[in-house]
Amino acid sequence: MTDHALRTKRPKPLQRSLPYLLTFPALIALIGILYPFILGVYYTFTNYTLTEPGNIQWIGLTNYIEIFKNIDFWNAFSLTFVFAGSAVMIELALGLGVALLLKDAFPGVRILRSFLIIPMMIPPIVSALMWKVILLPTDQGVLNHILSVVGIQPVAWLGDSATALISLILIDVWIYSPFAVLIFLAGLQSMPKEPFEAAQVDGASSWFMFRKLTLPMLKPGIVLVTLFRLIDSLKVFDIIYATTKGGPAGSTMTLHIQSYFEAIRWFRMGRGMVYLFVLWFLCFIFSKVLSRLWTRVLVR
Amino acid sequence: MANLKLRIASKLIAAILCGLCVLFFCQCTKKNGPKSAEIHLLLNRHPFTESILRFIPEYERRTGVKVSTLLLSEEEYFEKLITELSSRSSFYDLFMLGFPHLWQYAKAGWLEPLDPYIENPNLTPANWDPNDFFPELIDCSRWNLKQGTGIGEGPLWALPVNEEAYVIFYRKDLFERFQVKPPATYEEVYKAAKTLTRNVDGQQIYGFGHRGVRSWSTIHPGYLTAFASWGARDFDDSMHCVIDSVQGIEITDLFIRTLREGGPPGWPSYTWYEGKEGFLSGRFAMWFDANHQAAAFENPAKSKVAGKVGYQLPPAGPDGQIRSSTWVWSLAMNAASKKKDEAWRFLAWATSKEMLQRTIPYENINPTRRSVWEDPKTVEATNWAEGEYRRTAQLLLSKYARIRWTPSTYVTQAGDRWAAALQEIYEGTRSAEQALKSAAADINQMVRK
Repeated sequence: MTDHALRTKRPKPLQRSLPYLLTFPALIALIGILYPFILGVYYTFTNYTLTEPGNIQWIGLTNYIEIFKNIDFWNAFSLTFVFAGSAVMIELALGLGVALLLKDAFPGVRILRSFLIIPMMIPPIVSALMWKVILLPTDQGVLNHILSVVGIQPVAWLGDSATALISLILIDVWIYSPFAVLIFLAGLQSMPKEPFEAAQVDGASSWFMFRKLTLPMLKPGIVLVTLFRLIDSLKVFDIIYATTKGGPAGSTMTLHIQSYFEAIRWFRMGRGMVYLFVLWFLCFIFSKVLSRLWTRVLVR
Repeated sequence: MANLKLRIASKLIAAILCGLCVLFFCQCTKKNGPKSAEIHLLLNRHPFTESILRFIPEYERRTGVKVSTLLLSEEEYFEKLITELSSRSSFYDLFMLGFPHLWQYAKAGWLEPLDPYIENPNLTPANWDPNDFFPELIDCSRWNLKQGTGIGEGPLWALPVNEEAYVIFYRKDLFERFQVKPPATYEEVYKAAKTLTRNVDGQQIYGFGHRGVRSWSTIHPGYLTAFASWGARDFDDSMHCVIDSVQGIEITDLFIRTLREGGPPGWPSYTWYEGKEGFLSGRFAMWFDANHQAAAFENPAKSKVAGKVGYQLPPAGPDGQIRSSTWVWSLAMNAASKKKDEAWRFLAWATSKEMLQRTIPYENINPTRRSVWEDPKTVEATNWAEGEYRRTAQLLLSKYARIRWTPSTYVTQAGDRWAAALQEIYEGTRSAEQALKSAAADINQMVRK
């Protein structure tokens, strides 16, 4: 091939830069995402206080050391896990149970399925406020009023440290279980019928078919629901903010709520960002593990 | 051919998207740009704001200045406000605050000093009488920016629009029926609360109510009133937190015991909104909070207890002295505002005698101007319980009510931590001594930074 031929085959400058031009919007979007994140991480190493924006000083790891030494952090850390773990487990179990009930066609099943997604259509903060009214501590509360009819004394659902966290978990379950139901329902309806028919012919019990066929085939759905719900539950804010704001006596003080107190109420942006960074790190680890698991399950 | 059509269509779509982006960008820029004939107000949901909003169209017609408002409930309001001010946004020209915020924001340089505007005859009408404000309330709005001292000194940072001090609202009918005397000491409050927590004609009544959420606003009304009556303080003269003093521990223990044994279940979930509703619906025998809530309690359209409410001054402490905490809602101007003259004119209008008088029928009591408080129309509108309300309000304002916080920029942080300690005591996870000592140590650490 002559030099002339090579020159004519070389792409034009516009063509050469086309790939870069096409990825440019993605780069801009990436900067838009990364800039606040990097700024937040930078603040964790400073004494940034909202009321003194002109006096930001680098203080190294001081914020991290102080927070990791503080019992409030470890309290928030463990509460975050208790909340997220319990909520996800209940949502998985409940979601699967309801999906199994609704997978077969029977009169009214379509209406039931439509009603089921109502909690997901309400903004979580509105749901939380609605539940706050339902769970009011005196007989003003709907639930306590109903209980009083059968002679049960009013319970301070959100106002007692023994019941506040459980109440919040149940609110989360009420809002997000329909998500699990929808995913499981889709999984159940797309399963092939042949393995079940063959098992039936062989005289397998329903429990055996559930353990050996339904559950393994639902694995991608289970991992998907766990991934989404775990990440969401770890960083839950709206439900707790609207109902208990971390009280009573710190019994619902998760990492996200603690960061809100530090950064917004007490203006200590540097410290608040440490809580958020820890929360991000946890979400990152869990999402990595679960997404790898999901890929492995899909490959199988 | 199909390719050509596709290319034209994609170019058209791209052009439309670009156009929309430009329009959106222009709109955003326009929103932040200066507008001479429009001011923006950020307001907290409160009888003052809800009443003044009724008259804003009238102001707009008279002056030609458009007044845009954003009304939020208290917690959300302060979050929005701090976000706006800390970013030095000039969007909101005027906003409401109380003195803890005044101390924080003035120190941060976010508030415009108002004295020059008052002294400017071109901006302030001659009949706008600054000396008509109760001097105690003007003092609450002056600060010299020195931590731990200086109330009533330095520039005027805001103008008061509503004042409150703290009384024990009590149900006269229940007290008479169960032969309980209105409490004159905090021990009597405890006994009365226990006696009156009972089922009355099928309804469960709770003896004593007070705010309880984990917030400095829980400390502020009845609890700080009791705390001050016991001779306890938040900080000493060297800004060292002393809430764990012997007196502090003693009264805190008694106060929380009263709530635990004579209060509603779930006290830590009570904001003042919920407590007020509880008293309105007849569920509390006593409610220790802002005296101006009387306007709602005495309104038969809203209240089940209208005409049955007694107003008891805060009980005396061990030395026989009555002390009350106080709160002043004020309007302040954003130092970054680009429309300060227009904002001031609105501020002067909203705090004029005429306007404060006109807000009275809409529950904006107590007025901050003497002439309005003494006006026959106000007297008639607030003459509840045969004048008992006015007598107690007058005594509180003139004799007993003072700011009981040490002026500093730490009130909200310290108060939040302090409220968490009260919840711990209520929950029984710590004794009063343990909880207050731990809170004091944390607060001292905050202040040292």
